[in-house]
Amino acid sequence: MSRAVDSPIVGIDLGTTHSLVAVVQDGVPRVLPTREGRNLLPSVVNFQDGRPVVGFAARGCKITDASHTVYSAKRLLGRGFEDLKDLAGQLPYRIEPGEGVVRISVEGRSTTAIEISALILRELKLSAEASLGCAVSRAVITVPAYFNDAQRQATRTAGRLAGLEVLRIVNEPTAAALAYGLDRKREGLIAVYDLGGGTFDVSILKLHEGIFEVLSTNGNTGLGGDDLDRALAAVCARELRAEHGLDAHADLDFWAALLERCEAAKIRLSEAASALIELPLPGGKGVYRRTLDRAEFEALVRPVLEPTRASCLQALADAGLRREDLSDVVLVGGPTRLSVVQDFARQVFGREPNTSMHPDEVVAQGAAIQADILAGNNPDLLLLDVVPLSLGIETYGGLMSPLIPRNTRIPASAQETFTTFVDHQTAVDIHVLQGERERVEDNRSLARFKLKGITPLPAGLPRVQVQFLIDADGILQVSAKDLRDGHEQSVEVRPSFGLSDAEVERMLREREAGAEADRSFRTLVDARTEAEPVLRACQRSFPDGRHLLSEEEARNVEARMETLQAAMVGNDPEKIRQESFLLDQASRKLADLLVRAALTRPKV
Amino acid sequence: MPQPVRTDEAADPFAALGVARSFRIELAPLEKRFYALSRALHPDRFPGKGAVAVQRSVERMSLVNQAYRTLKDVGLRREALLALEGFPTSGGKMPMELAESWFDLQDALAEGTESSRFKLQAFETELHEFQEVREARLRSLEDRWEADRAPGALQALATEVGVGAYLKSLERDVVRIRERLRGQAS
Ligand SMILES: Nc1ncnc2c1ncn2[C@@H]1O[C@H](COP(=O)(O)OP(=O)(O)OP(=O)(O)O)[C@@H](O)[C@H]1O
Ligand SMILES: [Mg+2]
Repeated sequence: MSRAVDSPIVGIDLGTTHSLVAVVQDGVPRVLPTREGRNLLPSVVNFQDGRPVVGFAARGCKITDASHTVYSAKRLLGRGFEDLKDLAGQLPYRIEPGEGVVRISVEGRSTTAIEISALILRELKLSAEASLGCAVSRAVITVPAYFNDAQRQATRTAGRLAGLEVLRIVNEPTAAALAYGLDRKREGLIAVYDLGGGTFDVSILKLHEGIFEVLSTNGNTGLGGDDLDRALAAVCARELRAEHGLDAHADLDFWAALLERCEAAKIRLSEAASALIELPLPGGKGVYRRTLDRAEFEALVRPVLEPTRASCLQALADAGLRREDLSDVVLVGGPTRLSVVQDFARQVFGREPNTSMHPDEVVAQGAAIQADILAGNNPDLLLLDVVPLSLGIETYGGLMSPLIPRNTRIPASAQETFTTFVDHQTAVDIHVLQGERERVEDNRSLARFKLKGITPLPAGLPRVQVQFLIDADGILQVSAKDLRDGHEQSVEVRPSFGLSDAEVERMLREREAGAEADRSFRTLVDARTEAEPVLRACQRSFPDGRHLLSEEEARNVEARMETLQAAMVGNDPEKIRQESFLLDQASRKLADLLVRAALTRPKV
Repeated sequence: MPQPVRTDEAADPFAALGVARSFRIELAPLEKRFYALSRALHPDRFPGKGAVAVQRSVERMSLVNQAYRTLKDVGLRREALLALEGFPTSGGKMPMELAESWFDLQDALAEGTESSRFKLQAFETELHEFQEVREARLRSLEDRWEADRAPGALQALATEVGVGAYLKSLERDVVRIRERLRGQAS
């Protein structure tokens, strides 16, 4: 019990391409190393015999084992199959329609973006536990500011599946502003331009005496560095078709390899004047090779960045500000290392952007600071955030009637009273929407629910008041009250794009069962890892030292090496440990003799 | 689809932020007050205090947020005050002063004549002047109420606010017409 209370709350940046975990220690946010010994964890999962491997190890498989590797899963979070049709051809794995959420198919097995995200979160949890030396069960997780309700809920569900209590969902640019504002001790009006792997956000904040007040936010949850890679790959694909008659999309592995080369070229161009894209064609039919210089690259990139301009201008307008009012422009996200992106931001905001914060780590640092605030360690600081998108309901004629406009501070609430329009009607359907458009179908459907148990009366007489409440995570809660008799109704809101509670429960149960399997798998891997150097040392020294041993001793060592080797191929960690111990014993004399021989050997 | 019915039981935003009921509110002290309330009420101040405390804080903070939004904006503040004093505003009509040139413009547009552009310009000028005069009228009505707190001024204000809603829709129409004419020109 006391342990759960004492254990630190971590901050997690669950990114499209990279994820990080950080914690505040001695008042300073620090990124924790992953179990791979790095700061960044690639948000990539590779399945080996159905077992997930996460991180750089998995990223290496993006090309060698594309069909078992899932990345950019964040792009699918909280979205339906229909939304993703345009993306489908570009993703190097197959997606399928499913009830509620879209399914990702990995060699016949079907999984979801929520489960993939949970695997990434669990890896971060284990990394944090290893590095802090204590259990970690509570976290603050960041999401793009422009994430809608379904995407936020999906993130929270992923945390739950990973065994984390998600204390707060924080918007990424808000987190970045928190880290920046504290680190640089800045006050005033700042804009955060966050271009990540798969999402773009811009937020305008007012920093004043420890209050970080978001004035407005805007963005695009389908635009990021990945799109620059794809713009490049599209050029290559055209050339491949023209020069080699090759359909670059036909072969998943080839397309994945092409995307990877394009990404590498892009990253190179953030420092070099030109970059080479080189790739063997499938079936040994030669090599595709082309160089790309900065000018050509920038001409390709600018149209991709263009939509971010309108977002920035809208955010300024919604905040009621002119760009001259800003005191700082902060750049966040990997692609903002590109000079073309920096130029773009400079041009949009009319001022020199600040690039001094670590663009990969600043969001996780901010999440850690918010975690520290929630732990009660920072009574002076407070984050006040907004909803990114208007919330409303469907009304007559297929129109959306807004209830909570975008950029309303959260928590936010709105009430609406409903009546019937047929005599003796006892239920009405309510359709909750999020978005800025007039027509229902142009907005995102969040949920549908039925108000039931209405007293049968002539049409127009019943009065049911529905309260819509958006909590500090930007997530909707609904409750209803019959105004005639004061009866409270519980409203079951079934998210239009999410996992049902039953599904989450099932996954949690499976995780419990799977946890045991995972633990024993880990023991097995550990045992193998420990035995490996014993065996290898012996294999190396035995040929040289054999003559120093008696025939019986030599045969004994040989036999032990064979049995250990056999045990290591098997699945019994105890057996491996035992054989490793026995070999160590048997070869000890050999090791001693070799050391002595080396010491007594006359120097030449 | 169900039709929502508006109920006018809006909470009192002045009470929520603890400021006197008035058309004139200084923004700097209001912000200070809002920040102080946020520091006390925001759900981030109730971690580990239990679901009930957090839920209560979410509800109270949402009311404070709503009240702040209302009071910061001159128009919303005006409407809220009128509603609280028992003068709900309702939809207005086309002001007499603008009617003639508006119908002139409509005729020109219907006939597609060259004069549309000038008629639009004329109407925009009139609309602009009307708005300025109206603003001054609103302010003096508000001043009157601030001085004597007598309901007479509120009744007049409620009517004016209704006209304001109508003017907003006229403005949108003007933008649409301007864009259409520009499209035809190019
Ligand atoms: N030096 C660089 N130059 C250009 N692009 C880079 C560089 N380093 C990384 N990137 C790109 O940045 C992107 C990843 O950025 P980042 O790690 O900030 O995203 P993320 O946090 O994973 O994604 P998101 O915030 O959208 O969920 C990738 O597209 C990557 O190719
Ligand atoms: Mg990011």
